[in-house]
Amino acid sequence: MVPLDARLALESLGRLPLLGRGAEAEVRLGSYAGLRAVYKLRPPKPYRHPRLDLSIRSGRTRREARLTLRARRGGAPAPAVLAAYPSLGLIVFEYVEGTLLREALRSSPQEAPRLLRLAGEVLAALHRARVSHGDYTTSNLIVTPSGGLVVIDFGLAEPDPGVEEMAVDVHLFRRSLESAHAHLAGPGYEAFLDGYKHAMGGGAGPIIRRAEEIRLMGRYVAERRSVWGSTA
Amino acid sequence: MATAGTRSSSRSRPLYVLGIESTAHTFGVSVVGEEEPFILSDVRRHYRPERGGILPREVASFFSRVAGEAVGEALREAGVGPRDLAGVAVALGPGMGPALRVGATVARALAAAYSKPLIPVNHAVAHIEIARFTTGLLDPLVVYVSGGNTTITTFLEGRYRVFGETLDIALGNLLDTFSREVGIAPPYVVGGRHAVDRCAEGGDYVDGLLPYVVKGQDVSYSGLLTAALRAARRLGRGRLADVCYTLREIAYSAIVEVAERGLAHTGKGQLTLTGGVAASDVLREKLRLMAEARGVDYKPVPKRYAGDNGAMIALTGLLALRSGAPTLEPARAFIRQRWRLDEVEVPWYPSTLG
Repeated sequence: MVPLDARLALESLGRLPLLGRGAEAEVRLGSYAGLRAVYKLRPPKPYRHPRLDLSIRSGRTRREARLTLRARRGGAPAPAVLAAYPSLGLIVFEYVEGTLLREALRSSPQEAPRLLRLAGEVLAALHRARVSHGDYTTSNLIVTPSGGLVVIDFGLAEPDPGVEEMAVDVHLFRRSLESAHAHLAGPGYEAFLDGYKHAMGGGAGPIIRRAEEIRLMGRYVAERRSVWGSTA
Repeated sequence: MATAGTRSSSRSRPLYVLGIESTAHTFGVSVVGEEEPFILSDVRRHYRPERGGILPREVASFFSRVAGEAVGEALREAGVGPRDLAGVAVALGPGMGPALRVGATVARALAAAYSKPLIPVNHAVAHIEIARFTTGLLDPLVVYVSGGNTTITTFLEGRYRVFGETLDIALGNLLDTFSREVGIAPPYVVGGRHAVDRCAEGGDYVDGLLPYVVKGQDVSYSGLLTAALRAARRLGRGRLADVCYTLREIAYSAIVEVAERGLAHTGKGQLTLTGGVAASDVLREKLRLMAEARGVDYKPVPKRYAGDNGAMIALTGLLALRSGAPTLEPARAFIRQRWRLDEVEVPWYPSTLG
């Protein structure tokens, strides 16, 4: 890896064109060792205690670099990592051309069944590479010009996931369909599950059953009694 | 279909709806009208345990004792007779069965006695509607946090969709259980401040003491509760303030993070905070800092309407009635302890009163 001076990096970073701003990171287009590259920076969050903030940002940056690499080596379509600087919250990826699946589902609805099935296959490939994603939504998949999918944003990924972690991925994808593409939630989720089961083989059954259970948890449960609300 | 506006303006008199809240520990009755000042009365009776948590049967018997006088007071204060009502709204869920049954029974009796339509209201929808009405933010992402709920939600295609939530226990439940177990509550809330907030005073954040768990758009608090209780035992009384501070910092930061994810994912430009935990100054401030950094318009629900109240039920009932949403025969008003937010059609959106 090419060494990088911290201050210089962050200063010059601000001059690069912004590709997007997500909830926790800014993504900019630049170059790295002669390649088109994406600079992903997790800036500090003003609402968190500074020490909590630093530990979250550096931890996720380190994790993202490690697990993107692991997914890619395991045969899942993830971008190449060119460099990582955890204490800066900075990671450099190869540039992946394409549009977010979230946008593609809106602009090319006729493609939805194929793309969602493929999203299921890509998740299975991740899980077979022993990585759970932790934020598997239509905003974290890129549709490439050739019609393939690339999965990005491994900041919440886990190595060697159990049934629980993999089920959370299935659940999160379903909910991202429900919350951002409600009309697709039924048949779209079926197509996604078809792809997942097909590529995952026999191991898919318990994971999908657990995803169904997770869906029913976290909802209002009568036993959750509390005095909150009597404050007025 | 006539719009709500043309319907109401063609009538000579404004509509009034009486609303009843009884899902948890507050028995609330309120009358809301279509014209200013809209909320004409807002009567509340709080069940407060002397020790321990809340026992549903005790709550129900308390509610039964206070229901009659609360209804009478709400009508008197509003200066509206039961015959002047356009309908009776009641929170049929989600909530505790024994408590819900009291509100439902009172609503059924009122509606049947005066031949008024009974308007079923979802308690979670009502928390959102009172926030939209009081803040004037008509199309917000909503952070709804209370003893039983921790939900990030926003309107999409006819309903409030759940964008993120807790995978296990609710935020209010986390703080209540912790404070009860370590012996700093009840009373849980004094002068508008929760026991954990009072305990955190003079404390500081401790690195690596407690786990921060965000899973995608969801939070998980049960591991945090277990770890906080263990840390409190290990560090002892002398450092309880540090444990409280760290617990609160992590619990609130996690919900603010998933709210930020919700804004990024849905592209909404407005943010509100509602539910009982919305009374927390620390949480209100954290969301303000996040919203400011994102350039999003943020207004939390006024503290007075953070906790459970009848006004939010009456308001939602009135909005539903004006939009032509279905009403119930009183005999068919069954409670629904686990009535999900995203099962409810919201045909009046994005309008509100005023």
